[in-house]
This record gives sequence, structure tokens and C-alpha cells, in this order.
Amino acid sequence: MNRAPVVTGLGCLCAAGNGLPEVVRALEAGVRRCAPPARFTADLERVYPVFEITSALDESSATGGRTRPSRCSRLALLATLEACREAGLESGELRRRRVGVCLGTTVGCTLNDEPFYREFKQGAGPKLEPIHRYLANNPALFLAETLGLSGPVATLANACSSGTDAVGLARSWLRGGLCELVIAGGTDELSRITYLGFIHLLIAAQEPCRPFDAGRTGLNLGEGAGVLILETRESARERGARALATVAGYGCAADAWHPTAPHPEGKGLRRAIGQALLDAGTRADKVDFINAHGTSTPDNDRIEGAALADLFPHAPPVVATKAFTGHTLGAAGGIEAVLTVQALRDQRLPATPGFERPDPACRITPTTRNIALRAEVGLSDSLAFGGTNSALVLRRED
Amino acid sequence: MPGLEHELKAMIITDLKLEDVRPEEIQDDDPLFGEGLGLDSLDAVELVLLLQKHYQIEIKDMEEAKQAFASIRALADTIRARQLAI
Amino acid sequence: MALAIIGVGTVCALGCGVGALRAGLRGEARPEVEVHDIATPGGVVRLPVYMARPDGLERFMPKRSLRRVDRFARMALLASFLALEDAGIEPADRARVGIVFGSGYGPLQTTFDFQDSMIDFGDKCASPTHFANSVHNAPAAQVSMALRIEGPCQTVTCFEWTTAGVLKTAQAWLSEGVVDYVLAGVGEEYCPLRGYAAAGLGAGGDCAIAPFDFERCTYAPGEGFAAFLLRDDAVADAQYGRIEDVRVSQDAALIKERLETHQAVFLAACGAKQEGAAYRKITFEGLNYAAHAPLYGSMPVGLGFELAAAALSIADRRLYLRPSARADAKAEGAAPSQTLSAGAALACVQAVGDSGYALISLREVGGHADPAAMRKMCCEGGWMNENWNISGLILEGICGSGKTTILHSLLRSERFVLRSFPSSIVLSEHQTQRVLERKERETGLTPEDNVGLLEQHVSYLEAARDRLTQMEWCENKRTNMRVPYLLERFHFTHVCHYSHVTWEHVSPIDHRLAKLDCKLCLLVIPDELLRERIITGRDSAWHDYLKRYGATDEEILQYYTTQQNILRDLLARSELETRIIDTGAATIDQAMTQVLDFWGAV
Repeated sequence: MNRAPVVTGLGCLCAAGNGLPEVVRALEAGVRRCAPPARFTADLERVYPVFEITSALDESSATGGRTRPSRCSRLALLATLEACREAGLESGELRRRRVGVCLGTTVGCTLNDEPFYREFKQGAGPKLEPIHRYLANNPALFLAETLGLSGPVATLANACSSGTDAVGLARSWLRGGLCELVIAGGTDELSRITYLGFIHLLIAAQEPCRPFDAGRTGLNLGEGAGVLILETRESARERGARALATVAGYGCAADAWHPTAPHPEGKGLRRAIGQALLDAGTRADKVDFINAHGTSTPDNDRIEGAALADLFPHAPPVVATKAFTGHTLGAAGGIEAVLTVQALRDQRLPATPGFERPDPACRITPTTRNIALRAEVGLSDSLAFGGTNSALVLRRED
Repeated sequence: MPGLEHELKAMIITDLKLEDVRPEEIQDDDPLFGEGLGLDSLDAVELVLLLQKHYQIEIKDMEEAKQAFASIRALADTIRARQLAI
Repeated sequence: MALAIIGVGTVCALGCGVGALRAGLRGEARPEVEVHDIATPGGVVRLPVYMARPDGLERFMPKRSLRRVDRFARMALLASFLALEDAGIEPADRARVGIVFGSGYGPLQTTFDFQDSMIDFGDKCASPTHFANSVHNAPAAQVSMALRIEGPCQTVTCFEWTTAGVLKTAQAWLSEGVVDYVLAGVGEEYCPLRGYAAAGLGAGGDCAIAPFDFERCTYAPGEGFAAFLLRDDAVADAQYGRIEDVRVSQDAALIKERLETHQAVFLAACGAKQEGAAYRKITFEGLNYAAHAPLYGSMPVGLGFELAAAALSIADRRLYLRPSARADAKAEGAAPSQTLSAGAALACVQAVGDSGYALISLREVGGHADPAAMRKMCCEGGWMNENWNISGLILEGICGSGKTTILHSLLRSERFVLRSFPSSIVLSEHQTQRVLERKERETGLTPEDNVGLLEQHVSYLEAARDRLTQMEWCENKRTNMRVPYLLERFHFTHVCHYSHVTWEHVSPIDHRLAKLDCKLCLLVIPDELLRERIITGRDSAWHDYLKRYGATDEEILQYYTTQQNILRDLLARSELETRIIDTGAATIDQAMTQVLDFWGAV
């Protein structure tokens, strides 16, 4: 009996588009929206472009009630509503059934209100509205309260692998019978504070990112949300919902190496991918394509590329969708899981923009044109700050 | 000892919190990273920031950092060269 | 599935380790509560704050590796090491150990240190190190690096739901067989902004936390970290009990019903007014309940500390109902602790908002507590950090200073015998001075001879350390991977005794010893005792020997005084941690204890 949970809905917002169909069109057209940040400025010699959502967010959706929702919360809600529409889950059903929510984030759980802190530092005794807002906007808690959910709730803060880990944890909840449905994925917003942090780590690029390219110089930050509706196969059948894919396997392992740099031989990544394949009961040579972490930093792409080349000698196509979305931190794993499922549905992968010249040290080359696939199995992997590595194996449903 | 080299050693010890090291123990030509002092990539980016803060010198990427941070002498030479150029 | 708690480590205002927590629960110790003056628009608020003191991390990690580690991560590290030490377990495969931590607010101090660097010095001067440490998952990453734990490593952040989320993740990993052990932990950190927010939300005033006085706000911010080593209950002794249920619910009636089957309930009530309604709905006449926030402070992850208190109740078979469950905080002395029945269950509950509850059910299952001595012998730092598995002491001093006597005593002492089994390295001065005397007679000595002999020993010690580093962990509770070494007189003697040897000749040796975790103890004789120790009461063979140092007693004494002064002067030049012990002022036993305490390795 196949106990792996199924995906019945997808939702996605990012710089590439407001909603999954728009995102898919942008990927197909090779359109990148990468520019200096519009919502904030930084006093620096140089400019570091980002993948910002510049279109207005739909404000008509339900709000959290007591205080104004944060941008992270709104992005998560919009992506969730899109995914619920696809899964045929309307608000009454969400309240009636036992529905959990598991989201990854980075900015969404940090007390990052710079104007408030500046005032506090000066002894100006600022009002506490930003504190109330922070306390009311934990992404998973916000969704649970807004949608009236009664299942398990968790926000994961695992830096760049949070979204992937959220899908993995949601899968465990379903397998363990804690609930029948889970809203899983990730959400993050651009923040001036995080922006300065990455720039000073010298891993941000001054140009649009170039995954796996010999001349790559670093990442661009991005923002957005990627949400999947996961449920047990029984629940989907009972609701008459169409299964889009199966979350066949998940693996997670730590490098135990360094606070910011990945293990030079990708030790944790190799183990995480191996575990995910084992969990899925799938051999490496059955993986038909890979959605890489592909941040475009010199270290990441070299280490990840070598690991993928070793683990998948049959050289399946590799796409680095951060070239379209930027590095959305806590949302990345969610957005990339969404795009992996979408690739299984459409049987298409876009070219990876920004890539021109192969780097022998990376040992792999990402997609250079839009391609048709005959894919049953896709892999999405993530490497996080602090050395957590995670991977998901997703299998097509007919 | 030339003033700038000594100043840099003191700064590195204080700002990178190398409590058990004395300035006299750092030779001007010793490698700062890997062997020698054993600093790592996170120290390197912190050092970039310290150069900006204390000497208003900008290092724009890791390639430039590798050159400038090869040793105390390399660091001092970089600072002196940039300051002359202003 | 059920989780066995096999080790607990806590850092909080009561101090570090389960011993400190236990003392607080028994009413034998009080927490450190500072009163901070918080400037608010409405005036100055006096806010009690439960500050933790993460002291003692140097016992587990070399100081150098802590240089970049911020305070929150230190609390997490210390609690984690303490939990593992408490469990006395050495997992066979570090890739099958997982880490799941949780925090509501995350590493606050370093979050604001980063913002300080931007605000105070400009955007160009924002500190990347502070940024790297400020992400919520940094403490878990630090612990995975320090302990070389390579299984899944994740961080949950969900305010008051965090503790339940952490335990549920641990359950998932263990039940799926992804790992054999999980190090689960929750913690919070205090910072001035948190105090400002608390004051603004109604906290403050000179009063203790009164968890059951729901008419007023007695919230007092606390910080700390509680870590638990967990295993699948089917295969482990569980001295701290078995977690049978972790549930979250909006149904007060259901929770109340569950509580009826527990011998007592520990509530994470922490002085916040708005909790009142929720807690009232689940407590009832006849229910044995207590809240321990007056011991550790108010924080979103308070449920984790209640779990620690419950775990100790189980291990000690005593219900820790202190502070009193009654609303009157002054009646603290009144509540006795009762015996916990065999097989009984304790519940830990945290109310969230108006109507949410997180419940943990912990049952006593008859696991025995390991004898304290065995645990101490097994785990004091050695196996957990492979750079720290060899540790040495050099005993220096002129003749008559008591080296030999103290060395004999030390080697027979219970502390040394317990800790040095099965391997230790002990070399007396015969290995240094006597070997050279013959060569000196025959061919004369060069500095290279002296240094060569010292080098042989240091190289051996380095080789021993490297071999230990390569040893695999093993599933044996009694394995002692820490090898102590004792040298009676070493490089200091060579400089002081041989005029052709200078400090510059031996300073590389000194440096290598520093990297072998070596300390040095200089035993000194006060002037007035010199004659008695060196000359009086010794046999004629000794007197003949002394003649080489002077024709008269005065000359001999002058020689030894000079020698002792040279040794003293060398202390300042050495990289080693050093201590002078005056053997005139102490008995042999006292001196030996001072030596052992200073060494710290045994």
C-alpha cells in the first residue's frame, strides 16, 4: 500500500509572477525580473540587485484580525489560497477537517523592525505596535488562526532549507496519522537587514546571478512564498481531489562543519540525497531531473555540482530556478518543490538563465534551453547556512 | 616594529577575539588563514568589514580578499597603497 | 510512539546542570534574579529578570573554539553537553543522532548586535559574524559542529507551541528510524529590548512571579536552555521516564479529562494575566498541580522547563510541588514534596492564548539512575570533543619543594586512580635529568641534547593524542577516552639547571605542550624553610651531592634560592596555564588537592 502522501494543490508568488501560471510563463519565456531593491535603500558603494515582487499584493484576502499582517504572512496566505483553490478546499472544509500547517521562513520569525529598534536605541520610547505585529505574525500560526485550522502547526527556521524541511515534516505528520491534510511550504520577504547581512558575507552578486557559470560571483536575494497542499491518498480520494504528484521521499543531514560555509566535499548533502532516495525506494539512476539549490555562489555550485555529478552519473537535466526567483531563503524550498511538481505535470524544464560558460569544477551543466521531459521522478535539494542539507524526491501521478 | 603592522595585529587579536595570542607571536609574513593563525572564511569577511570600519578601505570580493589577507605584511601593504591613492 | 528521556541538561537562573535545578526544586537554592530599571514613556519600570549564567563550557570545549560563539549558542551548547554527560551515552554513529531545537525569539542579543553594527557605524560596517550567529538555526548548527552530530539538524519557532513542535519532530524521526537518538532542546535569551517590550505589556514591579494570581501581571522575563537526550523507548532505560503523549488541543474538556489520569500536573503558567481563563478551565478540586516559573522565569518555551522539572520528579521519585501550588507566593515553605508512585504519570501543560493547550505526558517506568561516579568518570568532556582527549600537568620545583611526595600522593589518590584508568602517562624526573647526567660526564652536553630529549617525550604525547582522535565512538558506557599525563620536572628544569640552555631553546616545546592541553604547577619553598628542606636531616650521600653547588651551606642555599627564582621568572614566559603552590603553607594533602583542583582534568 503506497503510504506516501500526495500533492493536490500548488501556490506560488515570487518575482517571476503573482500566482503559479504567471510564474510558469516567465520561466518558459526566460524572463528575469532582477533589479536594485525598490522598497529600501542601503548606503553602500555598490548596488546588489534582488528579485523583488513589485506588483501589488491582493489585499482583499482575509486578514489576521488583531494586527496588520506582515508581508511574509500575506505572501503565505495568498499562495495558500491559490493552492487550496486548486485542491478544491474551500474555507469551510479547512475548518471542518483536521488540517495542519508547516512553513519555513527566515525573516518571518525575526524581530527585524529597524525603525523601531533605532528609536529604542535613541531612548525615544517607541510604541509597541511592531512588537504586537511580530507576536501576531509567526507564519504558520498566522495561517492557522486566519484559516481556522485545527491540526498541528509548526514554523521551521532552518535558513535556506526551511521550505524543503517543512514539506518533509508535513510528510511525517501525514504518515504518522497526526492529521489528513497539511499546508506545507515556505515564505520570506526581502528585508534591509538580511540584505546587508548577505552582502557583508561577500556572497551577494552585483549582477543577476549565474548558476554554475564559470564567472559566477554570488547570489541575489529574493522574496516570495511556495505552498503545497499535501494529504493522504485516502483523503484525496474521499474528497475527489486529483493527486498531482507524490512526495515519495525526504532526507536531511548536517555537515557539522562551519557556521556559513558548506562542507568542502558536500558530505551532508550526499547523505541527505541518499536518504531521500532510500526513503522513496528509488535508485539514483531513476531520477529524471533535478531542481538544484544553485545559489550561484562560488562554493555552493562547485560543491553541489560535484555531489550531483557523483550521485547521478547518468547526468539528468539540472535546472537552477533561483535564476528566476532569486534566493528566497525560507521560501526557497517551498517554491522549488512547487516548481518540481509543476515540471512533472508539464513535462517541461526551462533553460537556466545566467548560465553561459561551464565551470569544470562544478562538473555539471544546467539546462541551456527549454526542454521536454519524459520524467517520472524529480529531485529538489537544498543546502542551508549552518550546514543542514535536505532533499525531496517527488514522483509523477498520472 | 613598523606601526601599522603592530596595529593590525592588535586589531585582529581584539576584534576577532583571539584571546590567547600575543601580537609578538604573529610574524609579518605568516599566513593568516589555514595554518598559522588558523582563521577561516567567516573571519575573512569580518576582516573585510574591519578594514572598512578602521581604515575606510573597501575590499570588494573574495578574490581581492585572498590577495590582501595573505599575511600581515600583505594587509599593511594594501592599506598603505590604497591610502596613497586617495 | 513513546520517547525515553535518558539525559537532561539545563542552564537557567538556578545555574547549570540538573543538580542546580534539583536544588531549586527542593527549595535548597534560589534563582539569580536581577532587577533592571527599564526606561519607558510612562516612567522607569523596575523589572525582575531571570538571567542565566552559562559558565563551565570550558570544561567541554577549548576556549579558542568559543571565540565567535554568542551567548545564546553558549547556553544551548552547555545544556547539550550537560544532557549528554548526564546520559553517559556514547552513540556509535554520529550520523544517526538528530538535533531539534526550538526558540520563540531566537538569538536576540546577536540579532541586535548586528543591527547595532549597522546603525552605529553605517551600512558599510555591518558585521557578517553577528549576522551569521543571529539566524534562528545558528545555535543548533553550533551544537552539531561542536558534537560532530551529522543527522538531521532543525529548529522550530512557534512561540508557545515551540516545545510541543520540537518533541513531535523528535518523535517523527525516531519512529521513522531516521536516527537512534535525538538531542531536543528549547531556550530563550534576554536582551534589553525584550525587557522594554515586557514592561510595555504590563510586566514590572518588585514582586515574584505568582503563577496562579491571575488578577495581576507578575511576568518576569527569563532566559535559559533545556536539553533532553531522547531515544526510542523500546530500547532504552529511562531514568527520567517515558514521554507517552505530546498533544496540542483547543478542547479544554479533553485536556481536563486527560489530567485526571496523572498523579500531578506541572503548569507552565508564568505570571501573564491573560493565561488565567485557560488555566482555570483545566484545573479542578483535588488536582495536584504546581508551576515552577518562579524558579526559571517567564518565557514562551516554559513548557520545556516544566518537562525538566517533571523528569527530575520521575528520576527522584519525588513530586516537586515547590513553589507552592497555592496562589500565595509567600507560603513557599509549606508545600512538602510527596513520593511519586511507581508507574505514575506526570503531565506538563502550557496554555496558549485563550483556549489552546500543549500537553506532555511523562510516565515513570522504573529505569534506574546511573551512579554519579560512573557517569562522571565516563563523560567529563573527553569523548565529546576530540581535540580535548589528552591533558597534562607538569610539576616543577627545586629539590625539597615536595614534588616527589606530592607526586606519590597524587598517583595513589582516588580522583586520579578513577580518572586515569585505563590509560595514563607518567614520567618522573629520572627521565629528564638523570639521563643527561651521564652524557654530560662522558662527552659534554649541547642544547640540542636537552631539546632532543624533551622533544622525544612531546612527540610521543602528540602521537598519543592523534591516535585517540582517530578512535571511533563506541556503545560502551565506561569507555574513558581521556588520557591524563604527568611529568615531574620538564623544560623549566632544563633552562634552570643547565646554563647552556636558554628559554629560546625550549619555547617551541612550551608551545607544543600548550597545544596538548598542558598546565604547570610550580611548588615553592618559603625562604625560612629552605635550610630545613634542603640540608637538614638528609643523609651523607645527599650532602656529597650538594657539594657541587657550594662549599658552604650558605652557598648551597644561595644556589637553590637562585634556582627557585629562575623557575618563578619562567612562569611569565610560558604559554601554559601556571599556578604557584607554597608547600610551606600547606599540608601534603592540602597541596595535593590544590594541584588536582588546578589541573581540573581529574
